[in-house]
Amino acid sequence: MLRAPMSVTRIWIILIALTMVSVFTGESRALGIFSDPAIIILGSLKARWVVLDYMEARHVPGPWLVMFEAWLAAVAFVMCWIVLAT
Amino acid sequence: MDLQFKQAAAEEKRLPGTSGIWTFLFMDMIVFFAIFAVFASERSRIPAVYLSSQQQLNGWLGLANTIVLLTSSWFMVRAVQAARMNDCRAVRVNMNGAIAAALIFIISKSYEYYSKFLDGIGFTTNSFYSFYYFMTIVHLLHVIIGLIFINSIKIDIVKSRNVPNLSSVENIALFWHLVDILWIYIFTIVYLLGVRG
Repeated sequence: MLRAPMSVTRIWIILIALTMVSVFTGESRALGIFSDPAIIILGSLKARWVVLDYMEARHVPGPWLVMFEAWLAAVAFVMCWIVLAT
Repeated sequence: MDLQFKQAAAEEKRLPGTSGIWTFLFMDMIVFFAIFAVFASERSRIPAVYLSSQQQLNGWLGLANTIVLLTSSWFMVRAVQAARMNDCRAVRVNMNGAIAAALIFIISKSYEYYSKFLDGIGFTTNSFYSFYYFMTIVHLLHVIIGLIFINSIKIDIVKSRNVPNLSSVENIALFWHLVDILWIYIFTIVYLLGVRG
């Protein structure tokens, strides 16, 4: 089913807001032990948004979307590894 | 109505840019994934060194750089939209915006490297800084290469007063978005994750 894409400006505002929240979380550690998981989720969300809506990968034909989603998941795994090993 | 729906659906399924650029981008992503994984491995081996070095980085400067690159990506999305409507003026204006943001990023990174240099911190100071410089310099080279291509495509469009090749605009925009994604991860992994307040 066709869905109206979110405007690029609205996505940009959301990306900037998520960036500010992640930096505030990282600098203040306001969420305690949940700070790093929050930073990982925010970073992954931002990257996925750029892939899906700025690169227009949401509807690309072929295996590209699966490959990009797999890469995003793999990097999220690496970020979890960093936190668990710290 | 049915025909309009089919045309819209076909448009949605179209691959932006060329298949070659998607292959290139994915190879680039694999290389950066390997760098991130080795960074994580090294960090888990000597976390204290990484933590103390990480605390010397300026997170607010990283925030400014992230905002600048996200804005640059926003300009490139709008440039692609304008190119699809053959609106040369809007393509030029938005590409100029992307170029200006990229130049701000380059100046900001240069200032960051210079301040580190003044503090006596270099490529070989420790393992963390080897990764820091390697990742950010390779990323910066991506920014510079992207900047050159955006500018040359913009000059072609201005000269011909037309968008002679939509794929080239889409290709450079896709590359530019990848530069943005890589920075989102570099910023998260190198500047933010694992820092203890």
